[in-house]
Amino acid sequence: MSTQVLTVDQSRPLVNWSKLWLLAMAGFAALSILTLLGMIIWMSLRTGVPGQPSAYTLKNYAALLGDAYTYKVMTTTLIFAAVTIAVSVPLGFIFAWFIERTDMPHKTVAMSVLSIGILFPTFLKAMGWVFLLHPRIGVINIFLMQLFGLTNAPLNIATVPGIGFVQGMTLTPLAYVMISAAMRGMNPALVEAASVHGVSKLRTLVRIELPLIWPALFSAIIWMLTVAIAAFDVPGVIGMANNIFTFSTAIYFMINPNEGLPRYGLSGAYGTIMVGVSLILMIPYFIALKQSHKYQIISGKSYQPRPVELGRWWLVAWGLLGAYFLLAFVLPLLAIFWVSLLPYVQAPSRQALSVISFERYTQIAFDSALLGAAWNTVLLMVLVPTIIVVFCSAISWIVTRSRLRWRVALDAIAFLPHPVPNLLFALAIAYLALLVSNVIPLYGTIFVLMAVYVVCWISFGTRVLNNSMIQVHRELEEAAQVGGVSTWRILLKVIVPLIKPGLIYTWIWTSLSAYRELTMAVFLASPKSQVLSTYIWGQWHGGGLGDAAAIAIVMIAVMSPLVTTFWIYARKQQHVASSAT
Amino acid sequence: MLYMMIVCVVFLHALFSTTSAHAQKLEQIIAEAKKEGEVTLVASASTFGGKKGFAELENHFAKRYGFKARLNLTGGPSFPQVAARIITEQKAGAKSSTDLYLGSDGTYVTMHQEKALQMVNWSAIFPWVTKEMEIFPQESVLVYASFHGIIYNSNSIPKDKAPKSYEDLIDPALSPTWAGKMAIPAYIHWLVRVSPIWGREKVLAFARKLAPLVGGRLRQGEEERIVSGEFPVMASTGGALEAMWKWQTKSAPLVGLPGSTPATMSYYQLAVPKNSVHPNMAKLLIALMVTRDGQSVLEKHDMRSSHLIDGTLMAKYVKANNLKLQDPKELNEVFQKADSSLDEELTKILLK
Repeated sequence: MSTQVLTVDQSRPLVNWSKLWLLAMAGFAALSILTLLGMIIWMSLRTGVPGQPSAYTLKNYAALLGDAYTYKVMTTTLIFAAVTIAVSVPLGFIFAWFIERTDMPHKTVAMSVLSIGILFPTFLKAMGWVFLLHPRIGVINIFLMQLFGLTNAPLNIATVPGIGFVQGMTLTPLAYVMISAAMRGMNPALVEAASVHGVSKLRTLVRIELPLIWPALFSAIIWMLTVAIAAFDVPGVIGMANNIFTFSTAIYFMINPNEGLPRYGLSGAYGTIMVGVSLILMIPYFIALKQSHKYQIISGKSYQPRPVELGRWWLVAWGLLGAYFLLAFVLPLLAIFWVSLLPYVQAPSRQALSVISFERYTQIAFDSALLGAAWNTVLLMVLVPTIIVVFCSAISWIVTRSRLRWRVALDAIAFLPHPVPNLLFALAIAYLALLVSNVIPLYGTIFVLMAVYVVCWISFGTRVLNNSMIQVHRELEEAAQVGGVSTWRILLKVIVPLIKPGLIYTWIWTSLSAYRELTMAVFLASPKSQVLSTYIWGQWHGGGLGDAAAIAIVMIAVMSPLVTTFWIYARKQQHVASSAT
Repeated sequence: MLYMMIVCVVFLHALFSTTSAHAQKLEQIIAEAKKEGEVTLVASASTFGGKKGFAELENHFAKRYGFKARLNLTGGPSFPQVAARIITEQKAGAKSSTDLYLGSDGTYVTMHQEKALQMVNWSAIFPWVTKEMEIFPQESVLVYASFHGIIYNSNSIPKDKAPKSYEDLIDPALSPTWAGKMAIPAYIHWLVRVSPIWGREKVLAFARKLAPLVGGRLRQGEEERIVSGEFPVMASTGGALEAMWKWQTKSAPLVGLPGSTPATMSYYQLAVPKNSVHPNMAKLLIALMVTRDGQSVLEKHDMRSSHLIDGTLMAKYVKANNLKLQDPKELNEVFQKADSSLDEELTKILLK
């Protein structure tokens, strides 16, 4: 380990420029978040399109609340979200319990199986599900109908519960991550006591473990609810063609209407209501988080709770996990691959086998537009996390290290993009970019995408870095300060090396998010700012199902090694970060 | 005498200057286009044969105009959605996302009314463009004409139970086959088109009976979802016959037929938005699309073509069947005079 010598600065300047820089960066980030949120409210009070004169009015709210379609969409969204939660949270809980609380064999493999689910874009899996469980073309349905001689398909993905199910399956790994963290920190003494008194494993699970992790479960439920409300991927891929419209797809059509001009005002009113709902939902979320500490008694590193012995039940555990992996990952990808080989979508048959070819794959190699989209994706995967790490470091430093009066407010503002549906930020930045396009010609460029990604994921970065910075004892910093070392140098030479795992974890996670993102990109994409996700979406939405499938397979094949390497490294860094506590 | 000489000089000057201005104008356009170097069309990803078609168009472009340029296609939203985007961008003072606009008569009326398109004297600049091709004079050029009609999957719907007209779609004897599974277009222009033939009340009554049978909505270009059997029938699409011709060459089970008598038409046009980033390249590409070379690319990949260009599939079809097509200018009037309450009512019934 190299030893670094911090030089002592004898002449202290009157103005601490480094602190001012940090404040400026944090202030800029906070201002950006507030501006975009303010833009949503402002939009809601105006009519017409950006640049058109408009008086302030409440007409949009009246139109929205007076339209029966609004209630239809909201009901659909709530049912969709309820099914998403009903699928993802119980599955996440079961997998977390198996992995954290039992002696299930090969836990590392199990964790990897669940992690892989997080790595691949949701919309690709949704495409696969159409080919698996659609009532008329779904391979599983066709197989079941042939097997049991049924006249109607037994399963139907093209329904509100159907798309909720797919969204739930794709969010299960996230639910697992949230719940498993709570299980790891759970007080095992009560479970041990129950075991000593001969209480059955199931009774212990239901009566002791479940109540103990209830706050974490509740937090996961609220979190899944906000994600489901904003989700565009699954409702867009499966719902839109089947007349199912949720909040996100309804807003998409308000901005991209098939009749007349975009209704920014109406979507702003919709957005403002959703911001309100999301912020209200955060109250029970925070209460649950606060209460969760009551239940956590980490007994020190030396304490290892006795895992529940599964016996032969380990087969059931692995059976469930295997079935999940097969349904959520393997089968959708196989379905996409199959479609990519055909001249048009057909169920597997001898006739279909006779016409398969790799023609689409040879065409992809010469598609310059696709290469452009790939380049933009890589650019975002590098620049977005880098900017986020810089801005979040500044915010977290102020929140955790300074004695500024407004640091709590700054932390709250940095958290705001977390509960607010991200597509609303995309909507706001699209409006803003159009409005100022004469002065700042950024409309339609990759920079708009970059800006909105940074704003939306600042909340994630600051959560991770706040936790990392809080663990660094002030003594080190104070010692350097006494020696007259500038704030910049303290940050770079003392704090950054100590929080390096957190920084790398934040960088990798946001980089992967930039790779997966469709919801915001689809609202902002233009010919110059196409990314892989919007390129595939364009093919799919334009009727090129086979082309979309082929590009998806190539995207997965090319990006998988990179993404997996990223992920393994991120998990290591996360482990390093958490072991520092 | 002097007066006569002055008149002659002025006349000759005007004559030559006009002729040279036109010739020069094409040269000027080419010179400016060379500087621009590329052009982008935002439309459905399968437009003009998609990637393959655009690669072929690049070759034809180089051959005709004497320089190589990049012709880009970006898969984007539907025709009306792109039109809405162009108008929004224009009102905001921003550059257009697309250098040229492809759409049918319904959306072109909106573009025309919003004065969103550049005035280009197409037939004066490009010798192969006729006045008749300029559907909105000096604004848009007809690139292909299509019959509006029904498409269905012949594996999902047997011939004896298949619809033969729009009215059959709501026939209680036939409709159980596609009840709850039928796709309709994501827009209501197709019904506005038949309103002069049926009248407002019949259109509304038809829409009310159709609504409970609808299972989904598709945009033009999504015929593969009918071919696959995801939806057994699509109530209407612009280019039903062409879709059938195109997919039947791949042995796909798709049948297309006109939905009404007389058949309603869609006239697909190209024009340059006022806020186009590469307007000169756009003009050259538009003119290329109405040459025999451009049409051959359209025919090869989409089976689509213009009836106004000799030797094309559509011209031959119209001639062979002795068809009298709807006058595009009359159709424009239908949309210009369209009763907005009918649009609203249809949207409420079918799309909400």
